[in-house]
Amino acid sequence: MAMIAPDKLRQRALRAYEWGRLKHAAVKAWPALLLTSISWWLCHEPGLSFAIGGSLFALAIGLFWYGRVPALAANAGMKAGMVAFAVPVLAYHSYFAPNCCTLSTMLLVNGSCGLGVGVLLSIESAPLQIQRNVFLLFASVVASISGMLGCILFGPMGLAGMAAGVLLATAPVAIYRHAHA
Amino acid sequence: MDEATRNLLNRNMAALADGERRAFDPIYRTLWPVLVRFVAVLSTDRMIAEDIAQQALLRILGRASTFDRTQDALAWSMTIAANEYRSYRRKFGNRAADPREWALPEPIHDDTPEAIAVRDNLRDAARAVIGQLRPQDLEVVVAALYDSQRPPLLAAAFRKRLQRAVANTRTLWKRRHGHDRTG
Repeated sequence: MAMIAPDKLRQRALRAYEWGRLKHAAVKAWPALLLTSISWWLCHEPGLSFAIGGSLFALAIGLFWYGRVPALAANAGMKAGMVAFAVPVLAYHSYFAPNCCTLSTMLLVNGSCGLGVGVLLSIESAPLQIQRNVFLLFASVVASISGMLGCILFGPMGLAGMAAGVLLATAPVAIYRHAHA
Repeated sequence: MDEATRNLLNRNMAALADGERRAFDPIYRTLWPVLVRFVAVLSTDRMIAEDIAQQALLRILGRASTFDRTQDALAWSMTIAANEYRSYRRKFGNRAADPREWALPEPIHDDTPEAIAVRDNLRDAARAVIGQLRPQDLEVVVAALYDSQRPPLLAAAFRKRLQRAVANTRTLWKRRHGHDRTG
């Protein structure tokens, strides 16, 4: 056990703290890997699944590592994102699957799912005292990317539908709050 | 450590766990002397104490993001420091001696090499056992032994906890070294 010079101890301690946070963030971001694996297994689009899943994992780690409101947002976004992931996947594999593949039904399923997630996140951001829009922004991005992993089944239109749904639900809330701030 | 400092440490540790980097320096400044004193009580060697306290501090801050805000930050930190001390002992030859080696066949004068060796062995064994205590037991034992800040308890509750801590210490001692009487 080597003694550390007192002036370097603070620096080492700070580094230990940041490393600890990063490791903890990687552990907390595990749902991103789970969703990526399921998406890869179900959608047979490994390239797209890994690209979207990798971005989600990196983003979640970054937000959890940073802490405070962004970490809360990542947590909420991840939970909402699981719902956003599950809905299109279930719709695609359900009894109604044949009807689900028409453009209008697909847009309806993904759009309303995104809309629902956006409303959920807007409600969840309400009790926060500060940085509610920051919360809403990060949570929406995480939830949208998670949902997109499920929407790969529907191709680019599915991805766009989900993103549009979340944006439609959260943007008016954020603008309203900003105007009344 | 007084109650106000302890509460502040709890608040700062919770803030640091949430990612509030401003809480880092106050925690660092508060914990460092406490850890050195605590490990010094266990090891009696100031140099070793500082060395172990440094490792403990790095470990505490490395785990700060997993801190559970329902726990007491000081007790949590002391548990990590006690574990660090135990690891150090294990690493640097903390061999459990045969119970017969501890038996005193006859009273020995204090200044003989044999008496010094026996005393040192006993002290090391006591420290190793204290290092294995649960944080809440350790807290009351340290408070009782060194007249330091007592946990926020009524006198009767403190006595009860101390009694339980002493009983736990005896159990640990017996588990490591057999019966604590040599007769």
